[in-house]
Amino acid sequence: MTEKEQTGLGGTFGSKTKGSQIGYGHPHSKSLLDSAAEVIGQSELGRKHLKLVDTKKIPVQVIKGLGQSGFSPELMMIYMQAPGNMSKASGSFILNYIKALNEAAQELAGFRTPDPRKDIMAYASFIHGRNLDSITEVCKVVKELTNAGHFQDLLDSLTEMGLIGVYKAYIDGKSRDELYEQYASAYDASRGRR
Amino acid sequence: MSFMSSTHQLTMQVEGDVNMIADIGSFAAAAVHPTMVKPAAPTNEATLKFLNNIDAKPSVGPSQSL
Repeated sequence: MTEKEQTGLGGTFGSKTKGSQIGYGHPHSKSLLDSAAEVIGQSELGRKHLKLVDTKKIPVQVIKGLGQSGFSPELMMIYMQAPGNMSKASGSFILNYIKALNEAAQELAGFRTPDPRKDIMAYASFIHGRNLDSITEVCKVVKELTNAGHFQDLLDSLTEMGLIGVYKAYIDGKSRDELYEQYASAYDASRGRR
Repeated sequence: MSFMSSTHQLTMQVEGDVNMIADIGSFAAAAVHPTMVKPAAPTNEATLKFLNNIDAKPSVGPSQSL
């Protein structure tokens, strides 16, 4: 992937700024994405997701910050956020990247995000379903990395993110409904941490 | 970092352009608890099929070979 593809919006979010532009671009974006891809690429399912970026030309923008990462269906773009001093992908960065890749894959596979103005409940149903499915795919990739060097780090990150219950339920072969219960609990925990 | 917030909110942060879709979208994701809705039908199988065929070239019609 070239630097141009990574930044997607060119200079607007790049590390070099002019005039009133704000320097959102992460100084280590290439290193972060490369190190994340190195880990994800050790999983067969992970490699399939990584291929999406090159084959479908999904731009990936890494910005400095502590906020949310994910796929923007409006802009058809993946945004990743990381602290400015992070130069190598952390466990949570890796997990968020897998999730964002899967969200993009879902959208491209035809599961288009509905307009929230038309039906908020339908939109919420879609978003929670998408979250659940992408988290499940994250769990699959982590499971495939059981014997990889980063496995414990990824498990620790799942715990920090409140998602270890979903992972355990997935490993135990629980149904989608049961995974959704774990997801709902994680949702509460996540909101409680803010 | 959390998995739970809508990416619409992120779009708003990055763009600095609070449009109506983003506003309602992030409100919906934040306000509607997962227990208040059933999740949409599973997407994993179809998404995996899409990923498996990502390299496949679209069909251009019947084969010309004899």
